[in-house]
Amino acid sequence: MPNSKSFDRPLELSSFEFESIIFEARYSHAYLHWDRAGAIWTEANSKWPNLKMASVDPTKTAFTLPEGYLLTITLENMVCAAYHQDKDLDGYIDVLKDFVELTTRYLEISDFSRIGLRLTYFKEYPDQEAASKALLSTNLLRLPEGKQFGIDGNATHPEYAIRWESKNRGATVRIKAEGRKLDFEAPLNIKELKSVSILKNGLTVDVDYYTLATVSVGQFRAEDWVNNSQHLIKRGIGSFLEAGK
Amino acid sequence: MSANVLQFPGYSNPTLDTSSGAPPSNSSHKLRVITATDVEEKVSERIAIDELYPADSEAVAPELKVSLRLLAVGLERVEEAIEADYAGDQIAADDAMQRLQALLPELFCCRNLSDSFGAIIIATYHALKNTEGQPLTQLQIRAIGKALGKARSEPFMRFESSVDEIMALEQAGFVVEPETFEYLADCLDE
Repeated sequence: MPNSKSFDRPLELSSFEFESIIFEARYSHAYLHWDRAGAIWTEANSKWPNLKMASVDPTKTAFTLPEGYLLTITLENMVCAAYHQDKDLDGYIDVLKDFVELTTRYLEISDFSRIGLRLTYFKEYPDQEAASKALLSTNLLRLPEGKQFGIDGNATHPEYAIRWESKNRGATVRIKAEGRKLDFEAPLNIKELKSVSILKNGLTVDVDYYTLATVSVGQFRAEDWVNNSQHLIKRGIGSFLEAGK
Repeated sequence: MSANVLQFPGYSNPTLDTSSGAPPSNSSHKLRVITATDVEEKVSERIAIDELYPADSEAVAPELKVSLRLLAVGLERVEEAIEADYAGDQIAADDAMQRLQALLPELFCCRNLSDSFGAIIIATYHALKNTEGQPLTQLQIRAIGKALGKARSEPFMRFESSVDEIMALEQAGFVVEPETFEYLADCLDE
């Protein structure tokens, strides 16, 4: 967790904690999902013996791996999500590679209408005011001065979102000051479980890098695309966070 | 004289409400707000391979960058050969194809990209080698261009797709196996 002195420095992505990496590939309706979901996950289970069913219905099948992966297939997309895995990108790519190969083979997918990689980061601050100030220090948002709506107050929970697109590729950037509340009431009869109430204030940086043009399955290799996308995201987000410098 | 009156129940002829200046209303219209965080599905052409894996990106595997670069050069030589053949200059066409052939060993070094990539490159290598210096026809030059173009645009295609490209080379009159292949096949038959 960053120390208190880091709150006053200009924002850098390296001061954020990595939260999640999510790959999504969209395709035309793959009705074979109705026929072959069982075969897909049976083969997946032989590859990953610790696979656990998360949810299953006719339009969506989702499984998890204990390392923190969530694999989902629907009629329209496949998603491979991993949480708090920044130190093991190679492991994520290995899972993704096999997951994409398996899914495209069984569902006979030849083209993706869109592929995207979404990275989210979080930086904790002592309170909402500090988090809000940090986002406002980037100068990405221009605020009017003085009283607004008859209210002599401060801007809180600021949020910045923009899409940056060319003809074939795009990126969506969201930077948000937010509070996260976790309340868990433990059952009274289970002594091992304790109730939890946590409030975290901080900044979320969420970048989604995607294609707009069709991508053939024959064009896609997880290792190169994910590495390049991650490289572009980490490099590109600097322009937004450091705009206030 | 008679007239047929056609009615379209779903159609309404909107009129402007001049009192408010509001746009005409039609209950069949759906209003969808598009925001920065809402990505629309667009029907589009296929993305170019160079946009997926930029040549200047340090995050892209070296063998992928090398293969894309060499194949781009190779395809330029195929174009040269086609233009020279059209112009009736068989020597220039043959020269261009020989310069293409010189790229194939280095391309074969990138065969770890995928089995299909390796299969197309080795088939192209043997196809050209087995011509034993005979000039290629227009059809054959184009077949080579098509196979290498496919290898460049979809280096990770399924193996069955590469087999289709190799069969197209055979249909163009190439022998895509090494010259000792038939003897090996005979040995295996015995």
